[in-house]
Formats: sequence, structure tokens, C-alpha cells
Amino acid sequence: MSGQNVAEETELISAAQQGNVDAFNELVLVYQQRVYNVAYHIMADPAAAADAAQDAFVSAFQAISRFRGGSFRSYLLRIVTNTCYDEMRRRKRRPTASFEDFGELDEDANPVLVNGHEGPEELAERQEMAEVIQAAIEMLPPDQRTTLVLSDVQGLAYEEIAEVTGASLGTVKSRLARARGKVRDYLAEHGELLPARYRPRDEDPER
Amino acid sequence: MARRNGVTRRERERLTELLSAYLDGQLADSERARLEERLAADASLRAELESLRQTVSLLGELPKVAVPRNFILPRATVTATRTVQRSSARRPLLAPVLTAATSLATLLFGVVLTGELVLTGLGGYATLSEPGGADSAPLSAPAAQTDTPTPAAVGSHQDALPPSPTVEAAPTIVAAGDGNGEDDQGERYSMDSPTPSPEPGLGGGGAPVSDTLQAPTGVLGGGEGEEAATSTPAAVGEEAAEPVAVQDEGALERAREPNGPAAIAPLWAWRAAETGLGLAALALGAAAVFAWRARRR
Repeated sequence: MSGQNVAEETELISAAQQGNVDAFNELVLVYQQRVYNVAYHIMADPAAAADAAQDAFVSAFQAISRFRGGSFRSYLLRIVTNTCYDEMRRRKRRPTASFEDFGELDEDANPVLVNGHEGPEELAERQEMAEVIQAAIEMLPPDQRTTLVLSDVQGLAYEEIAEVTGASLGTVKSRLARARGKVRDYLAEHGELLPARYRPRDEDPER
Repeated sequence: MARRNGVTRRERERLTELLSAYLDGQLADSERARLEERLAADASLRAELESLRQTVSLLGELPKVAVPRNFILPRATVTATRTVQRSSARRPLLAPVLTAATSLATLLFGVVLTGELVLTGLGGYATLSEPGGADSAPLSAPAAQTDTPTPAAVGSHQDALPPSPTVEAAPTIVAAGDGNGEDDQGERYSMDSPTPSPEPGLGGGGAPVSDTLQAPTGVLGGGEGEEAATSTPAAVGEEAAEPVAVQDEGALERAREPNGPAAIAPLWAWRAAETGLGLAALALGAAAVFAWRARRR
């Protein structure tokens, strides 16, 4: 984020802290994509992710007077991950919507993937790849899942992940390593599900 | 996939952690140098690192998912949710209070209806039919208290009246639990005939008459019991308080009754009170149900 953007964001935040919804909504527009994507990968359910994102923005606005500087992105991501955890706990307690619904992406509701210039075939392959990887992410326990999504899908640094999840750097490091190891093993077992160009090349010289 | 003989799961995890941190450039210089030495010497370790790198790269290739809609907050929603939030802080109290209010309204309704039925049963017809009802009513109603034991009915009323608070309290609970159809029928009939003489022998005077007096409450109690039951589980707790209230209200009612003419005359006032209390009880009951549901959510 450029210096000008930072100044603008600071201004919007302080306006929102005065109760200015319009100012807050400008921040929503800036961050909604990221917030929704994090919720999407954690919840693995587009509708639940949308609800979580919306709830997170409402909570973020309600609590914005308590925001004391620092990274606004981290602030939002912390709220949305907590919202997702709450929802997952709630579902676990009262599994009215069964865990199967919860764990699998609805194929009919295939999300529109944001990616510019791709042919239909490439797009289809990419979508296929996304489904396999999402399935791998879903089998992770929530802490590891969140850490992996924040790090490898969202590209956050360890420090920011620690800030978002409230864990120490060491914990982030080990959660991430375990998550990556499990996803790797999953892909090794289910590699045939991946489109050819995404398949891990086995470069083990011993084989 | 590299599988290294003799490497325990724990060691493998530590190795993965090392490689994972190495990929992110998170190793201290000395650690990194040591790992790079090992990598240079160990092909399977290199393969392990490579598989991890591929995994991370695949994750990074996950396409961004488009937002299904804008998440901007409409102003009205924000103010509404703020209000809701504030009220939800008090929500723990809301449901029980509504339940209590429902019970109270139901109880008052029952008491008022009982009172009205008793009064019309005793002298209300005369009061209603004659403009000078104020004259005819005292004939029957105060008869009960003015120690003039003429007909059997009046005499038994006299028996029933003094201990009424306690006598009434007990049947309310029984009746609320289960409105026994046959009994209610009989009691209703006995209410219809101004003199409840047919069934009670004189010997059993006290008890049957108190039943007779209780009948309307019993009939009502059945209905309201249901309502209270549907509304909340906490109604059970509330139930305990009811008999006390019944006693109080009953006592009030009795105190009012002897003043017959004044109390009986405005029948429309009884009806209005019944309607008002009945509606209030229904509305409160519905609100209580919603409050409990919202609370559970």
C-alpha cells in the first residue's frame, strides 16, 4: 500500500470511528475480496463464507472505536477468522446443516474465479485444481487451515499471521509446516485428481 | 515422494518444519548454512524440499474467488444491528421476564373470568336483566356472607368462602396440569344452574362447592397451561409462584365480591378486562416464544 493510500485509509478509519458508515464502506470495498476469500477457504462453503464476511464487517464497524492503529487488514482478518471459528463451533454443536454440506463445495455454486485472460480449458483445469486443493485444505484442523490460508493463499508474512491469529511466531511456523506437510501428502495420494500440468513432478532420483 | 528409512514421525515433522521455514527464508544464517550442507549431500532431502515447494506454489496459484456481492453496510442495517446488539446484551433477562409477564397476564385473565362467571352465575342474570339489578343482586350474592343459611347452595358457599384462598390454590395447579373433561363438564353444568345443589350432598358440602367455584379456573387453566407450556421451559419455574398469586388475587376477588352490586354492575368492564388480559397474555406468550428462540440462537 502506497503512502498516499495509507494516509487515505487512516482518514477513512477515523471518519468511520466517528460513526461515518460511508467512510467505512469505502474500506469494505477495498478489503472485501480478501476478507471473503479467507472466509471462503476456511469455511469451504460460499454461502457461509458470505455470511461470515458480512458479519465480520458489521462487527468490525461496531468495534472500530477500539481499533488503535496498526494494520487495518490484520484487524479485519482477525475478526473474520474469529467469525468463521464461531460459526464452525456453532455448527459442530448443532450440526443441523450436516458436516458433509459444510465440508464440500457445492458444485452447482461454483464460484466465479477471478482471473483475467484464460481460455475455457485453462479455466476448467484451474477450477479442477482449486477443488482438489480446497479438499486438501479442508481436512486440516482449523488452526493449521487458517495459518496455511493466510500464509500460502493470501501471502501474509509470519508476523502478520501471528497478529491475526494471536499465536506466537514459533506456533505460526510449526502450524504452517504441519499444514504444508499434510497438504503435500494429500496431493501425493490424490495427485491423479490434479490436472496434468499441476501434478507434482516426482523428482526423486531414487525412483 | 522421499521416504527415509529409520526416520521417526517426530523427526520428519521437525525436518518439514525446517524445510518449510527455509522456503520462507525464516532460518537463521547458521541454521540455513547447516541445512544447505545437508541438502547438497542428500538427494531425498532435496526431493522433500522440492515437494514442499511445489505444494506452496500450488496453494499460491489458487484462483481468487470473486465476492458474491458487495458487503457494504446499509446505514439502516448498521443502526438496527447496533440496537439489536445493545438489546441482546439484555436478552438473557428478556425471555424470562416475558414468560413471567405471560404467566401473570394469564393468571389475571383466569381470575377475572372466574370472577365474572361466578358473579353472573350467582346474581348476574338478575343484575343484567333488571335495571334495578343493584337491588336484586344483593339478594343472592351477599346472602353468601350474611349468615342467612336458607338454601343448600348458599349454605355451602358460606362454607367455601372463608378458606377460599387455600382451597382455590390447590385445584388451580391440578386443573392446569390436566383439564379433566368430564369433571369440567359437570362443573360447568353446575355453574349454569344457579343452585349447585344437584350433586353435592350436604355432608360433602365444602369440597364439592369449592370445586364448583374452581370450575371456571379449571377450564381456563387447561388452556392457559398449554400456552404457558408452549411458551417456555422457564414457565415451570414461574408455576411455583402462581399459587401465591392466586391466593392474593383470590383474596382480592373475595374481598370484592361481597360488595356485589358495585362490582357486578359494570359487566362490560369485566368483559373488557377479560379481552384485554386475554390478548395481552397471547401477545406476551408469542413474544416469550420468540425471545427464547432468539436466545437459543
